[in-house]
Amino acid sequence: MFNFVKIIFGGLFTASAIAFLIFLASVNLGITLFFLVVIFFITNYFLKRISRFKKQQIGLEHLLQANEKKFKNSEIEKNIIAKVFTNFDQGVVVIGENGKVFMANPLAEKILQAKSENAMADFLSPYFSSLGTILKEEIILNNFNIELSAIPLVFGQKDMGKLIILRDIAKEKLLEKVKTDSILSAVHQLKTSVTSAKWSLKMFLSGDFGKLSKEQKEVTQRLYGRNDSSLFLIDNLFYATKIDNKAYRYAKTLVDITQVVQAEINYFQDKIKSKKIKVQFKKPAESLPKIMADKEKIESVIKNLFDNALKYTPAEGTINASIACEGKKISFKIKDSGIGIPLADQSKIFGKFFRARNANKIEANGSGLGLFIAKKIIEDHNGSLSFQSEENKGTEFLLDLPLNMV
Amino acid sequence: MAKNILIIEDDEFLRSLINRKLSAEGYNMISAIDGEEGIKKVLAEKPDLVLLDLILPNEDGFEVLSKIKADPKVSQIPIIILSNLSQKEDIDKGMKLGAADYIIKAQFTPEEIVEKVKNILK
Repeated sequence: MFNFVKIIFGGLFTASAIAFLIFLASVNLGITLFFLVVIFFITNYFLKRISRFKKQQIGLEHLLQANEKKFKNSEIEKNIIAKVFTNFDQGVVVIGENGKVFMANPLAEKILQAKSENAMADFLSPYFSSLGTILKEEIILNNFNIELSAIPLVFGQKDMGKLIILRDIAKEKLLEKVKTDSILSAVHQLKTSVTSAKWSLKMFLSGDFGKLSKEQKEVTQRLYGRNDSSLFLIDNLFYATKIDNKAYRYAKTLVDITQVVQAEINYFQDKIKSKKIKVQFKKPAESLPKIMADKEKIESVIKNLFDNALKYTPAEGTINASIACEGKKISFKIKDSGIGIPLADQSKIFGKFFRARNANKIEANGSGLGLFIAKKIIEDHNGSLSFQSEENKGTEFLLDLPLNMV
Repeated sequence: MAKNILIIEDDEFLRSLINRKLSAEGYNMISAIDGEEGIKKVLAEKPDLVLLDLILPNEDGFEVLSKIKADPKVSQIPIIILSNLSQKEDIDKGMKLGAADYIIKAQFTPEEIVEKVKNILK
């Protein structure tokens, strides 16, 4: 098209030049020069336009080529994404902003076994989390053990629907179970060994194997205490393993917390006496209402709190425990005159395997599991466990358990 | 006449400690090292009391307990479970199956076990 224009203008120029030559012969030079200048400028103007058109044409051609390349690339990308989407080892469903299934990969269809896209959307709709939050849940579905993630698709501020990812976690669960079972089996064997030591030592102390000298009795007594600490550690390991694998089940019955505390104080009598620690337990005159709780696990919480107080309080120190019914909860407090928790360690004290710096110095034995387990158990009972502590002065743990929990 | 106590326990050391403690109290002790042998000895010896561990080779303690309780010839024999399984589910299961008592090994001393036995055989 531009070439055509060029020909026309080129022709025009040639025709003008010829006309001018004829004119030159007949008209005077001044007028001739004037026309010559006019024709030159007009021609120049058109030639410039032509060259601009040409430049634009080249530009457009480049743009088209680039677009074509981009188009090709996006086609490739689209194909790759489609391949990934189809062959992905996790089920993927994209839900549009209208709540309908926009696309679902074959694995998702297999897992959901839904007859139609509507049925699929209906099934998934309870998992559509509110805007901006990612939801993860484990479900068992059509013999699949699935971890379902619902991810909101948000562009700018606009909710564009949801991305649902269905991950088959059966293998993972199986491996986890094998691991847990072998740990639990080892823990059980360990417990049997430690129990046999406990029984033997107790029989030595009771004189079943003959009378012991004063020194023999003293050593055996200490060994017995050490052995009981090992038993306690084994129990904590057992609980921690179960927590890790979410295998923590609660069997709740009506529990008298005052009785639990008293039993634990009795349990630690030997240690209390040997460290000459003054233990006080304040309880109201009338008995407190019982609460629905897992007795064994609440016992282990109270045991851990007493064990810590005894471990980290120097000889001849004090431990003041109290229990009361305050409003709709039962509050248990245990305050010691021990080494306290350094301020820098306070935020980490409930962490798994965490031990405060000063704790390691005073008592090498300790797993850093007790408070981790205690917190988990209390929170699972809808209660709360907190503390106040000052280094070198002491620590007070506060445990609240709601009355109306079933 | 001395009363007979059967202990079904696979751990030789634990078994010998309990045997020693109860023999000293004047009981006649019989031992079985797994569930299968335990059931055989319950039927053959008809002991006055059974101390039963739960985790056992061949047949576990729960199976042994159910079988004994299902057999009218021996169902009256009191059975004390002696185990380190301390989960409430296990305790409930054992008591429901008809155990006379449930002792968590690690939480009891041999003396306390003797007390429990004496109480039941009174």
